[in-house]
Amino acid sequence: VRPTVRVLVLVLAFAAWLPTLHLVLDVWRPKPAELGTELLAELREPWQEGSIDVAIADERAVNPEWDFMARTFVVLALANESIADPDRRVTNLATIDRILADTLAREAADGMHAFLLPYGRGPFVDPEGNSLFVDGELALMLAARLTVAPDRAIEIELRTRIERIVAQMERGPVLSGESYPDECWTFCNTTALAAIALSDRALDQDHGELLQRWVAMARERLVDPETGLLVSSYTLRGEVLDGPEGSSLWMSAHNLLLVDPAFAREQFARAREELYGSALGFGWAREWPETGDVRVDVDSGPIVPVLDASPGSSGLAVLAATAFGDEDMRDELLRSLELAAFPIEENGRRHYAAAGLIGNGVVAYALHFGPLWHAHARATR
Amino acid sequence: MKGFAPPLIILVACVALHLAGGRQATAALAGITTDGFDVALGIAYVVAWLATVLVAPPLAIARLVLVIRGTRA
Repeated sequence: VRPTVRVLVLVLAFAAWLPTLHLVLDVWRPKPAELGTELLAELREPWQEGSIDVAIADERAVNPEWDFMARTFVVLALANESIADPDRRVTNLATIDRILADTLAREAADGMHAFLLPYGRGPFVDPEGNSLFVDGELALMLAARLTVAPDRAIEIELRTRIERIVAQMERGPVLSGESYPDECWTFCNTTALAAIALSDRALDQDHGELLQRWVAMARERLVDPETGLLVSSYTLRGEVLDGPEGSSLWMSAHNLLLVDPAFAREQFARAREELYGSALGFGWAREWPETGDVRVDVDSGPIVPVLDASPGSSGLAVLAATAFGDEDMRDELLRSLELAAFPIEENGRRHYAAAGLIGNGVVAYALHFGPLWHAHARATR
Repeated sequence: MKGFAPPLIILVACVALHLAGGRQATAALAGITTDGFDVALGIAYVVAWLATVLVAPPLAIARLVLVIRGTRA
């Protein structure tokens, strides 16, 4: 056979195979609901068996934030599942309470530094020196717990935490709180706003005016003029540190659904345009817009060359895709996850080896997303 | 079997790395561990897996087409 024929056949074989691959993958990958159940079963197990200290040891040693954020996503997933399936409520509440008790105990023992990177020990500009990263996510966990079922102790803890968050944000020159010394993160501030919105319903309070003022401030001060996307970090005085970042934006857009749905949808649409890519049935998300520099950092994870695909941004993009009802985007991202994050399945449980606790946590939450946010939307309508 | 060796080699390498714990070792890519052996095993497995999924099937398909074409000629 002539070499030109060989090459032609080879090219045609690739041309036939690559566009078919996603269909082949669809045959064996689990359906999203099934995947969510299997992921949550895996994440729930160490809490139920009391082996969580072993399960989180490696990740805490590298970055305690990962452990903390994984807790948040697992609690949110469990709360959503409890609302969607009342048969799971008792078991899930027990797990949520175990997670909250352990988290609060660690915070009581080591302060907020139990969940911060070492540079969090530097001096905060705000005299109170609290991290909105820790308070915001803890408040969100507590508010989610309280939405599922009443509990007097949780209510007291949430009320205290929300008062502290609101006071911190009101003290800030741009209505924002620091997560790290002189670093305000949009991710953390919008998470705190989501916690305030959820707790308003659970505690029968109304911080609607603060939420509106924050959005007005963000539109004026935190929107990148080139892309129209929210920047990811800024100083306490509002000077931009980092421009738009996928890992921050997808979560922020999801949070803002509880604060200002129109603004949230606008941010998601722009982020999809600027940060999302797909080909041959597979999807990925960039950490940085195409017009900016590509940098690898702790949030982006290792960046895949050429595509600029970021595991951190892609994982959180699954959450945004489900939150905004974009099933095509969700399925494309889940196919990529199946292909490149290495699923390990055992006894009806599943985790992705290359995703870590936080990656598995965010996908588990994404695939349970809905009931908690929708319950809030119904109540405020 | 002549010509089917490359996709078979890729497949065998992937299975061998899988049995050696390559799939679990990809956890190193998430930055969870800095153990040199795990990182190397994880990267080798990623390469072998992607080659198995993306490259080996079209190589095998092309060879099969050429074999059929040769038989008919």
